[in-house]
Amino acid sequence: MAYLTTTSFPEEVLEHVFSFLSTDRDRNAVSLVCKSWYEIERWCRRKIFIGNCYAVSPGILIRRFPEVRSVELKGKPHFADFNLVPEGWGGYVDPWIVAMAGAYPWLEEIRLKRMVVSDESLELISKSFKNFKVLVLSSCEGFSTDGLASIAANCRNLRELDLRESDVDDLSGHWLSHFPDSYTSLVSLNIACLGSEVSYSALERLVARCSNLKTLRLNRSVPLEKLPSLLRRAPQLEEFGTGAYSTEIRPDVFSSLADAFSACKNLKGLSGFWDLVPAYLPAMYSVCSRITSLNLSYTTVQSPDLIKLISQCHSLQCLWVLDYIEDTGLEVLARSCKDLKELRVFPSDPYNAEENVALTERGLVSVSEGCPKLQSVLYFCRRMSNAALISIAKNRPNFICFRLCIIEPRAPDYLTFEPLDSGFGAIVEHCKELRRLSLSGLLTDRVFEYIGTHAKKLEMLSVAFAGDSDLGLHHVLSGCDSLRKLEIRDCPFGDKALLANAAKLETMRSLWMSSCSVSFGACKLLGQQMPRLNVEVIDERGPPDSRPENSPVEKLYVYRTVAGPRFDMPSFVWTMDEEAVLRFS
Amino acid sequence: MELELGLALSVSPHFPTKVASDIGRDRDNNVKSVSGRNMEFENLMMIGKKRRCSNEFEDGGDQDQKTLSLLVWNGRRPDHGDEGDGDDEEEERRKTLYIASEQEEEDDEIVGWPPIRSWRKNLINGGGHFYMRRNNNNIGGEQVHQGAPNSNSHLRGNISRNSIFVKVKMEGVVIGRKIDLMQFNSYQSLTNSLLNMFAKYNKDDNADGSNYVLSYLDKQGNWLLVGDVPWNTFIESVQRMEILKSGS
Repeated sequence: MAYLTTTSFPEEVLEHVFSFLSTDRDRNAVSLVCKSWYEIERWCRRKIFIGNCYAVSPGILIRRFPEVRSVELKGKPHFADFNLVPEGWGGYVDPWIVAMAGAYPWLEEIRLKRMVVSDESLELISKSFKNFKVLVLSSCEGFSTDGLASIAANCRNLRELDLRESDVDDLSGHWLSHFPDSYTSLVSLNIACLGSEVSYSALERLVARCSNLKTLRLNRSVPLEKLPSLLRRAPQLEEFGTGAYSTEIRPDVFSSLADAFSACKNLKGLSGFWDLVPAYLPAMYSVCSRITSLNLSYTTVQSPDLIKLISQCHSLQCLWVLDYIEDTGLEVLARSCKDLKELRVFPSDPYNAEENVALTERGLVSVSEGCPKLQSVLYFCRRMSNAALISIAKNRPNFICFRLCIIEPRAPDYLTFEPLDSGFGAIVEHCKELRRLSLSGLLTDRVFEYIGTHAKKLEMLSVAFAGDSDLGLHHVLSGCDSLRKLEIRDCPFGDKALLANAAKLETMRSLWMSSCSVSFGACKLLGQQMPRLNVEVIDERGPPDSRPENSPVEKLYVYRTVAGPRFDMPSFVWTMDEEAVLRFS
Repeated sequence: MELELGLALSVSPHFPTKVASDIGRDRDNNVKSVSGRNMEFENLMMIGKKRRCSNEFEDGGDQDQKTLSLLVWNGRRPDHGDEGDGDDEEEERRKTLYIASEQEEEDDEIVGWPPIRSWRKNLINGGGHFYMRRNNNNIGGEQVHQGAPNSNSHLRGNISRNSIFVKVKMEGVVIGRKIDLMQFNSYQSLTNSLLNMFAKYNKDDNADGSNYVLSYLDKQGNWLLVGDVPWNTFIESVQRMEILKSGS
């Protein structure tokens, strides 16, 4: 009966019905129903997410989905964040922009992550898409403020410009003045990553005329004295990132800042606070009770001041903070913030072996006890115990994301000197919905057995300095059914586990292995036998065939693709496709 | 632990037939022999998040998911006994591994560990350096916290930058590096660090680096020798650097 009714629907009706399906997963399912649904669906798909820009080509995308309005693309492997991917590796967005400029004149949104973006591409974006609205460049590089000036000058309908954590070549702060006087559509602006001074008068005029501005994240160069007048011009702000939050203590500055804050009735998120002078913190106390998201991870404010602030933020859902908060601050957080969902604690002095703050496993245990909604954690600390991990797991079986970094590699349980296997084992056993996990500390193959057995929904796993044999990797690849991304560094995992689970790699987005024990011979075999995988060896020591077949490669990046080997490989990357393997043998 | 690299594809009987047959095909054949629609259908399964659908597809019929092996797993099965029990060889291997890694840790910093984004790292380093700089200048603030940047810092111009990244290339070496000049306070510390960074390319093993010269591109676009101007002038003007063999 379902069959009869669906066939009688006109296309327009089905299109309308499909428009209510928001997730890619549902759209995919729909397109698998029958040929006509497939056709209808592909013509009305507006949003595309591509998790690896080398997994598919612009041509394939455009052929399949002719009417796209929004594209999200990711480039380099995640470990690029930590300097493990050599410069010049790839992830260039230019060919995508060129292709889309021709095919998608009505494209409205581009979101890029870890990609190399040229000023030419930014200019092409600004001139090719007639109704362009959203540009998000997250951890991108390769462009300068000149490219941003083209965007400002030409995108009349731009709503969102977000440069989060991008590495921008900062030529001048004048790019902001390229927004025309008639331009008023800005809703969200994030320039926190810029190093140079921005043109303050241009910024002030922009803020004043864009009455829909909801998010404004300034960079460190905007001084505190300027904040009151900016806030007064935009009392509708919901997210605000300050610049440097410091100046000499002056009662008039303090009171005008306090007044400006209290006039922002919709403020929900605060960030910035570079170089914070604690005496100015009370200026924002009036908004604390409304704040749901607070990023204090750029500020070195110490525990007593943090405690005063946080104890007033009863609605807090997301907190990013440096370890200056210490265990005592986290205890206050656990008592005061019952809605907390996400906590990130970053190290203030990660390269010093000495502890500089009293932040231990106890802080995390307190928060796991006190905050019933906590589901996502990134926590850097210097000691951990199995007992603590077990109680965290029992307290919060609702974890979706659990990333723990014990700063010293291979640090055992500080109480028993045992590996932390049973602690992390408890996490995967109790947290049935866990999707992302980062391991650290002393770990044997045992922990990977726990992970393979229990972490059935795990999608991303990061491993460093762990395991003792191929068995560890085998447990993960053969056990974690939902695994999409696996990144491994400095682990004794090698050919055997990799080759035995070769087909698993086709079900995943990517595998990264650096400083492991995978031989060049195994990489060749993998590339030869699995034509739908790109097997890329990254070796800065020169061609891998100049060394013995069984010597380990420096870095291995494997991903599935329908586009074949890429053409933009630098000289330190070798792809193990059929031809290359013949060449090498 | 012998490797059987010569093993042909072996298809496990549990392996879903659809996937197994796909893998047998090579990519080119795939393009030629499969009709356009099917081709696109496969593309669909591979684009980004849509993989979920391929997952459903593959997992759907066969819960006992097995993946195709290039190598038959003949290692010890995950049993529940203590690993390493009576397995001296394995135990020995592990020990040597730890020793090796301890040595490696003594060699100062491990690249990319702890896993902190370079952006945040600069912030930490930059903040610290800025603090020292301010203190040296004796512009004290009222509430300076230990290890914190100076409170009433008021940043201006180039000095306000908490990091100055420049690219460094070495003649004859393809891969460049990016370094933060704010992490150094003198030509000496910069040179030492660069020597370390590029040591593996220094085939003549001349540890003092006397056979290399350091040049830089200044704001005006001229290539100059490093060391001819005061350090502060240098860091305000340098755009990129190159390590040249002194013979060339």
